[in-house]
Amino acid sequence: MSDDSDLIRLFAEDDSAISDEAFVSAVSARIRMRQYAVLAVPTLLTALLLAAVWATWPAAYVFSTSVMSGLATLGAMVGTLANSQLGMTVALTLVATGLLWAWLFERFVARD
Amino acid sequence: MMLAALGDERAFAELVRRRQGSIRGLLRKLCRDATLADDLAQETFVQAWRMLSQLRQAGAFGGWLKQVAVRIWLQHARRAKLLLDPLEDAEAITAPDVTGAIDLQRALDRLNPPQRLCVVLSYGEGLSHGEIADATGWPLGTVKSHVARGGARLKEWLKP
Repeated sequence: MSDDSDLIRLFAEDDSAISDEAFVSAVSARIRMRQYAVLAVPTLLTALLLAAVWATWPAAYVFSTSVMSGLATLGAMVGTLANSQLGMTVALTLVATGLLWAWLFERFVARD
Repeated sequence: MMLAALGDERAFAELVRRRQGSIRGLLRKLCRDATLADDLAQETFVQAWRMLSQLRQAGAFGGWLKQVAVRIWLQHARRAKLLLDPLEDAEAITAPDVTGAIDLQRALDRLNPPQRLCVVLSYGEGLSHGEIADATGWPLGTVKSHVARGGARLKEWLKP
């Protein structure tokens, strides 16, 4: 065998028709399983969270209200900072750093 | 094709029915194990189902599906550490220990995985070197080298 066309012909001759209904059914079953998983995982997590809240009441109530109030305070602080010149400078610096990082990543890492 | 992209499972099953031969054939040439090849082929169609809405041209489905299959095989090969060094010098590969002609699949099995992939895509699927570089993410020079060396080895081993 010396020519590329001989090799191409050999590949073409080797192409046996592989086709069966079991494969189609297996693919459909796998897709259905993934769809169920997409629904089941968040549902399961929510159920576990509710069970944990029920089991630890009223500690869960105290914890959640303190977390919420902490988040609200943090939100107010971020809002105040964002309205200041310092906040705008920090935000612009962060955005510029992010863009630079994304460009460098694309340029030097992702193509490896 | 349009129906499948809109989420019609029966339309997608028809696509699987029509395209399974080419994808399973491609992956069987790349894998030594037919069961593993069929498993990867199933995963290819599952990925295709998830990403079908991203496909712009219905006519490009066949080529796009093969690219998905190549990506799935590359992921498997990385997990199985088959691609420790895609740039490795293929000179280390030993010739088949049988005398006389051997069949194509056994000869392919003897190539290292990157060479096998490039040779199958070039000679078996008719992809250009540029298309193989796009599909694999490897540099064009590496692809050309794998095709040339792998092709030369196959021709040598498959001599009548």
